[in-house]
Amino acid sequence: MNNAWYLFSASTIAWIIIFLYSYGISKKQKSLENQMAEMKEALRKCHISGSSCIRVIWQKKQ
Amino acid sequence: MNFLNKVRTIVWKDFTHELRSREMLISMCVFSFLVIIIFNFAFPPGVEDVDWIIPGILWVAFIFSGLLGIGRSFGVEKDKGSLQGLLLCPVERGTIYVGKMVGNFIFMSMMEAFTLVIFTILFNVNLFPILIPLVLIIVLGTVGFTVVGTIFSAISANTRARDVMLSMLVFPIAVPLIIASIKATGKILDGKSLSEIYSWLKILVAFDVTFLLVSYLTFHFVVEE
Amino acid sequence: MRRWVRIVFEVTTLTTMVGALYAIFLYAPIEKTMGIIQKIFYFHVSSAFLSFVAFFIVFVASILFLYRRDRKWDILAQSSAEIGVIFCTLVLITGPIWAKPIWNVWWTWDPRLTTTLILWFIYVSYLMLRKMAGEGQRATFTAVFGIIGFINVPITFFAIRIWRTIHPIVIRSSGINITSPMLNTLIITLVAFTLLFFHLLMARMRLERIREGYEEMKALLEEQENR
Repeated sequence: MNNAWYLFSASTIAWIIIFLYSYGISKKQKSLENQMAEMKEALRKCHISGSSCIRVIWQKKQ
Repeated sequence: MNFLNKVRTIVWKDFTHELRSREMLISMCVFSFLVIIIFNFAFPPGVEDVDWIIPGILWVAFIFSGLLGIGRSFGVEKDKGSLQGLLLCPVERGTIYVGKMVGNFIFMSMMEAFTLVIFTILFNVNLFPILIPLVLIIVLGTVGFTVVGTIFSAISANTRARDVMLSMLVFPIAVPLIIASIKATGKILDGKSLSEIYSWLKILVAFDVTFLLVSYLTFHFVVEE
Repeated sequence: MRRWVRIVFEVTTLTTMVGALYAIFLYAPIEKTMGIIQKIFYFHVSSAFLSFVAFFIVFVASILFLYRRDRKWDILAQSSAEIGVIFCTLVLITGPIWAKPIWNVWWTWDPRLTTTLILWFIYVSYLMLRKMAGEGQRATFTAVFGIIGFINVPITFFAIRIWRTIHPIVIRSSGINITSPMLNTLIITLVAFTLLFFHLLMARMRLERIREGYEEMKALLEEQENR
């Protein structure tokens, strides 16, 4: 039944690769969406108090 | 000016430029010489299977050295900014491609001729009886190699890691070319007649024609800004 | 795409995949000569098929991009190339794992394996070209390479085939060489993998669009800053 080990490792590797890729995509997506939300916040705050504050808020985030 | 004249002008430009410095041609020849020598250490002449290995060594020398020269063809243009000048001329982009390709072909052929001479001497093969079929195969192979090499040189000249990128683009595409050329050369060196390498020749011709067409059509996308 | 359509699609993908796994491990019979390891076949063939589909999509999208210059074709080409490389990698991994116990070697230079390896290299080079090229040119360059690369595949295959011949010929012109429940399992797996492919493709394209939005926003913000 050694052959079963080969089958097991092949399917495990296959699924790991697929999941890693899928996971990588959603993680990247989340991070971009978060950054965009932050930028929107910064823009909103400065719209209220005047445009020169953007520099301060955005650079603090960087 | 008709098509042939334009091509001839572009080829002439590259040829005279090279004639003055000769640096690219000399590096190509030295490099292919070195490759052959190194392979000689890898497979010393006493080895039994040397007949099988010889065509491979020859083509490896051609290809690695050819890549060197082809990489220069657009590399130099990009560095000196002369590509802009060329593009300003009222010449169709496809014509520029053909001109460059023919230039590369000529230089690569010169290197190959030199390499064949070295090869004859170092490996003690008599190429005279089989010269015509051998030249046919080499010409077909070189045409194919310069066809894809030229357009990829135009692409990779605009990237970082220029030479590495060129190799990565050319080698996977050139695989059928390399296989066909090496196998056909091997058969010819074995003394077989042209009819026996018919299928390899078919592949070479198919490769050359197909990619010449595709490159000619897509070249203008590559050079327009 | 509307939210509910997407949800239905993803649920379908998931259930089909679960169904396929059930079919592979519990429904399909164990092959006589090879034993249980033959079941890799279902993953292996499906991945190979899908990677080919992916690269064909790259080919078509590249042509459309050069013609229409619409960024969406470039996004499609890039995403499809990435996923194609993933599936091709799976083929190259599951293949040797299957081969070792059966043929007692990890690798042979037979036509199909070699062509697959070259195919893998072509699209890895495609992805490298994307990384190495500058912003404005990368779409055009990779489109040209995508076209040349795909056209190269049949030529490479024939060249290698004239050069060599071991791979079990499952699909001959006269018919299929496997039993009926295995065929059903294969079909289910193919469908499941196809759905998976499109799921990954859409996710990847969505990511690219979001990234574009992000870059735009960033540029806008920097512009505001510099006033």
